[in-house]
Amino acid sequence: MSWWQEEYGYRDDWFRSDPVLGDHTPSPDAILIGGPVVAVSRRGPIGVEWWAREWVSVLEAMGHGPRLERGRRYARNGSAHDLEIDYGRVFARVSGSHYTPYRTALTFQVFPDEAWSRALTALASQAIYGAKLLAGEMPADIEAVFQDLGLSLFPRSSRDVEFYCSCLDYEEPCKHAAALYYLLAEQLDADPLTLFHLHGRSREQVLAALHTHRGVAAAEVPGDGYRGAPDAAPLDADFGAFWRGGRGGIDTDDGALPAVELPGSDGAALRKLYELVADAARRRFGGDG
Amino acid sequence: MHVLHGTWLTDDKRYAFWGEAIPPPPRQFGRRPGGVLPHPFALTASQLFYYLDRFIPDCQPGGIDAVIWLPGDGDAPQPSPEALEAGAEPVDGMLRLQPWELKEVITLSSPEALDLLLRLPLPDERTIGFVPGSDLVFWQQAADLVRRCLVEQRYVPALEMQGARYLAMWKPRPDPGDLARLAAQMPPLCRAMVMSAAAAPAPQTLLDDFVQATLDAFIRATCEAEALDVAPDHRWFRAFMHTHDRFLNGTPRENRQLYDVWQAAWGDDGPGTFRVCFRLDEPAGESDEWPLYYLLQAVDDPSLLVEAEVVWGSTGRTLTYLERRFDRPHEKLLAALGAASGLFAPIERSLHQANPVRVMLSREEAYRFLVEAAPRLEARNFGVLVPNWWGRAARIRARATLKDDTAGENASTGLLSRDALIGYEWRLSLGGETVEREEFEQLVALKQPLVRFRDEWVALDPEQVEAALRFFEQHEPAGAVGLLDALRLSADAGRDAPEGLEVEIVEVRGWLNDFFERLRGAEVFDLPPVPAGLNAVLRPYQVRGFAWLVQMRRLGLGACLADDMGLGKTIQAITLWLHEREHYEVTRPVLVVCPTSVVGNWRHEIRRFAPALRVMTHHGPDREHGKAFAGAVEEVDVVLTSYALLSRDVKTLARVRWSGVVLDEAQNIKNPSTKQAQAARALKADHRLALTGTPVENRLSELWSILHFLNPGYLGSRKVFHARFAVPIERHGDEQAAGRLRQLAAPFILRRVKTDPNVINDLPDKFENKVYCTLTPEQATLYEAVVREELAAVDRAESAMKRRGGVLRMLTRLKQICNHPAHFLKETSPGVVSLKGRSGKLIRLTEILQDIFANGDRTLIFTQYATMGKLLRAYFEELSGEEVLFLYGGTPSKKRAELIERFQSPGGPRLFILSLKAGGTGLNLTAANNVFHYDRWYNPAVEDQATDRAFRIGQTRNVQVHKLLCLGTLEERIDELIEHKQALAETIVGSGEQWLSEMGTEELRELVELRQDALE
Repeated sequence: MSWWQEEYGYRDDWFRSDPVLGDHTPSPDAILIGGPVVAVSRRGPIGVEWWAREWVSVLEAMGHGPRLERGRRYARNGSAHDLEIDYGRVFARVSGSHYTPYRTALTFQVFPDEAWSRALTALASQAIYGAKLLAGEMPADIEAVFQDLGLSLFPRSSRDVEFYCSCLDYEEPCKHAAALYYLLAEQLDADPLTLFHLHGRSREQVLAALHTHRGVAAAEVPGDGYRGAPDAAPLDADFGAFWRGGRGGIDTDDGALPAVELPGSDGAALRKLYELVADAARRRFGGDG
Repeated sequence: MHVLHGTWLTDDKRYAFWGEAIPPPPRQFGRRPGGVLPHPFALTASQLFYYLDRFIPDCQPGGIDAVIWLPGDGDAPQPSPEALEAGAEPVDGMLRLQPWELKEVITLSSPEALDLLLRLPLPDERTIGFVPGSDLVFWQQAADLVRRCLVEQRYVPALEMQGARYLAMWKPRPDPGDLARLAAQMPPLCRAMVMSAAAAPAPQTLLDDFVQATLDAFIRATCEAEALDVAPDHRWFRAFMHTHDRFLNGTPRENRQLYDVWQAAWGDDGPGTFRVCFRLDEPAGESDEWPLYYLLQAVDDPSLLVEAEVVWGSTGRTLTYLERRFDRPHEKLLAALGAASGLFAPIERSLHQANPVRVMLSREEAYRFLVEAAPRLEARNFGVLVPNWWGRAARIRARATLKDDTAGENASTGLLSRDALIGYEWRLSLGGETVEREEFEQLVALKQPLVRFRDEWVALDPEQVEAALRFFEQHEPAGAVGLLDALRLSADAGRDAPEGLEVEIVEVRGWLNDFFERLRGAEVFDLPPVPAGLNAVLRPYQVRGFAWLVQMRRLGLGACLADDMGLGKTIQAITLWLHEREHYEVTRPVLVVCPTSVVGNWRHEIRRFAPALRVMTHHGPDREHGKAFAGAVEEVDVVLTSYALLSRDVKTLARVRWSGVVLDEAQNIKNPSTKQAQAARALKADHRLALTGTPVENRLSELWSILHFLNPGYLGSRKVFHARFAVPIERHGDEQAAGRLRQLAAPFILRRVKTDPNVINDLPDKFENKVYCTLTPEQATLYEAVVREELAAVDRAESAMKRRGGVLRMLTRLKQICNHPAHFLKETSPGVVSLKGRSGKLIRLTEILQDIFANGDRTLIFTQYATMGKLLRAYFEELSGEEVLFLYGGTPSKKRAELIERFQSPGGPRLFILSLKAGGTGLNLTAANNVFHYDRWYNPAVEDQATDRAFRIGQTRNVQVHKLLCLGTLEERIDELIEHKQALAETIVGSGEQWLSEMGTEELRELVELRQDALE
């Protein structure tokens, strides 16, 4: 590090214990994207789907033109890397003029559990929400659902999103934070449920909750006695049966089933792999069925 | 004795290996206060290692402490049945399920586990010192299942979303039945290595996990061991090929796209191979609401369907139904509904409930579903079930009925009069059922794409509806057409009417049907009497041909007589004209257009067979034009002209209303765009006839041109014909189109070939015809000069002998001139250029030979003169590019034999010129089926002998003999004499030509003088 950087510049270790920008152990559900993250859009606006555009419009209402422009540039040139998307917080390293990349973060409101419970119940009450979300789309009126509960799904003001950066720029948002915000827009393009994650629920949790809450409503639907197989089956005290089984097995004389079909050009590429594996298995374990 | 056990640990993704020792070892472990009791007779690690060393020596095992739940009495666990059998003591207290600590459990990676399980002996095999527990036996079968999946290539790559990342995994696809049965046999012992008995995994879950993880690990290990790599555009497969790094790397957008692609291509997941299906039902009762149901459908058994209700009603991750398992059905159904609502908007309506099972569609929406959405959904690998009347082409077609309206008058004769009209009716048929026009219009007026028609639902394709309406605007639903149109109509079934509506069938009612059939068979309904004015005896097939021509004339249909060359087309036509004049009071003349070289032939034949017909030849610079022409033709019955003059004088010729126009050698208008063809079509006539010796049906544009001349418009415009017939038949080999064309053309073409059984019996074996040729101007000039000089010389002759010599010399010279000027002038260096166009005989011979060569026949040409023979040989060799054989008096006998052999052999030369006097025996020339006498002996017997040689032995084929002679010259007259004096010929004529020299000068003059007909 050159002397002037040391004297007047930025030191990364000053931020190591910062509550927002400091080193964190990401939670197990965090979405981690290693290496440089480059925006797909090369020119013009960033973010394609309506919810990503909605997301971006908030930023563009809050920030200054030139900085945002620079933010977009940073988003496109791979300056940002090692993203962590976690509950309430998005963190990344953004290379700037300094030797060591800056630490940049955006924080969001994590909704309390009770609020989530009500929100998810509301979402479960109509299949359309789950359907669209599973299909990779943000349902059109989703914001209303949260607004009815006094929650803001999209950030609308500086209360909803805060920008942090270890760079020396005092404007909010600085170009690094803006870059991170834009990259999130594209992440939202790919998976709208990221927005839920920012507010405290991972994708699995949302889907599981939708399922459970729907199951509540489903109790009224006559089930005809078909119950799903539970994932757990407690060991029972029928000791006679405890050791039994294992023999009888499967009828191996059914005749070989045809190999699975491999569609498309990908299939052709995989063909070789399949042959190789079959050969290896034959050699190691013996051939026929 | 050891009992070996093992099971799969889902959390660690490793296989735990432990065992029981009998007798139990001395107690080793102390008891932890309040903790779990240690298993008192579990195998130690080193004991377990022994087995590993034995079966999987390369392994790198791990070790863990584990807890296993077994029945026990509080102090000790119950030994397994295998242990009991080996002599272990059972516990004596009351049994309850309790946990036991296993201190030294060996763990193996899944590939190692696979190895171990497949190498351990099978349960029936003898083992010494150890026995597998029931759990191991079970896992052996599970391992075998994995092995089979690997060997039989029954697995697919799958992607699972985890957060924003996509995890690549290999999913096995065994027979679902196998898997289910295996899971059902899992001993609970397998599931007992858990911390809490309540949380023991379900058998299916445990088995699935094992199978999947083991298969997956083996595939990756193999890929790594073989250092397999993939092409750059399949980089994303790397996530499937490495043991570490199993996530797709790429931007979120790329990954998403890959995921979608994968979904579309590989579709479903796991052992529960199913997909979401949409079923459209008809409305119930009178309602107009169409329900679209949501279902799950097993991919390998499409009849296995689960309604959405059942799915919503189930809890847990898996749904079991009829022995099938469906993994994560709710998610799948929801995701499918989300995607499908993008493809078909009405689905979204149903998504406002929590548990949608169907959506009700309007009729319009149901139609749109069937037409637009269903294919799109299928393309995205959703199941689609629709009512089975959909897709059965409910096509709208037109149906015509033809019938004779004239209250049965014609039925008695079975024949139509020329002006008869045939009634027709057009109807619509919808999906095969007739529908009246009003009914149809009512259906259309509903403006619904799906309508109820005779108790069934039917889809109305809007394009077809429009075509049907247009069709009925343009066609009268009922009316009458002439015979020609009716014929065309009846052959039209199955083709598209120009308005785009398919013509379903054309029903021809009653006797009309028979009539059309017979027309198509060129059958003759009755035989008119042969005209009295005909100066010949017709052969039976010629009588039929004549009758057919009369019939066509009466019906007003243009006809094409396409008999083989030599069967007498000319005479059949002439008979027709006589018949017209005798029975129908036809007064206007007939125009015959033919090649120039044949004009003379026609003249001769008309004069010979129908001397009562007055003939006019329209040719020469002095020919009439315009009004003068019109006036002149009123006085004659037949006007002959050539194709050349047809186009030049079309204005003049078109002024006249002919009773008939005959195109001889009609292939001259085979190209419909030529001036000739156009001129021919411009002529006005009551009837048209085309004569040709070639099979017309094989050359489509020729067929069109001729039929267009005969019956304009019958085959449609040239463009339409091209599109409807020429391209399908010639380019695509469309049999149906070819068949339809045959049907259409059949009534108008009569063709007999020499090999026809009907004809062959009527033909003599030796079929002679005379070819009348004309002299070229050069020949005419020479001829007249020689006649003048030589006659004068003969007149002046002093002695009888000198006279005779003079006569003979004159005759010889004249004959040479008739052959070819070059022959007479003794020109050397003959060749095509120097010989061409100077002799009428040669011109005609060339024309005929072309036809013969086209049929692949072999020909002999006889000539008296070796010089002429040489000229002919040189000429034809150059012209045809093939070898021409030549045999003459001077040919040595060995060479003769060789030449004959070559001619007789199959691939040999096709033309053999012979110049022989009488004599020579043993000539076998049976390969020839055509014989020309280029010039003639004046002794018929000699001539016949020559021709007899050609077919004396075997007579395997009919031989056609042509005798060439020049009109207006001595050749013609001598021929006449011979004909008339045939009986006396042998006596008078003798073997030489002396009899000629006995004639007086005046007789001679009459004989040799050039008559006008000679000229072109």
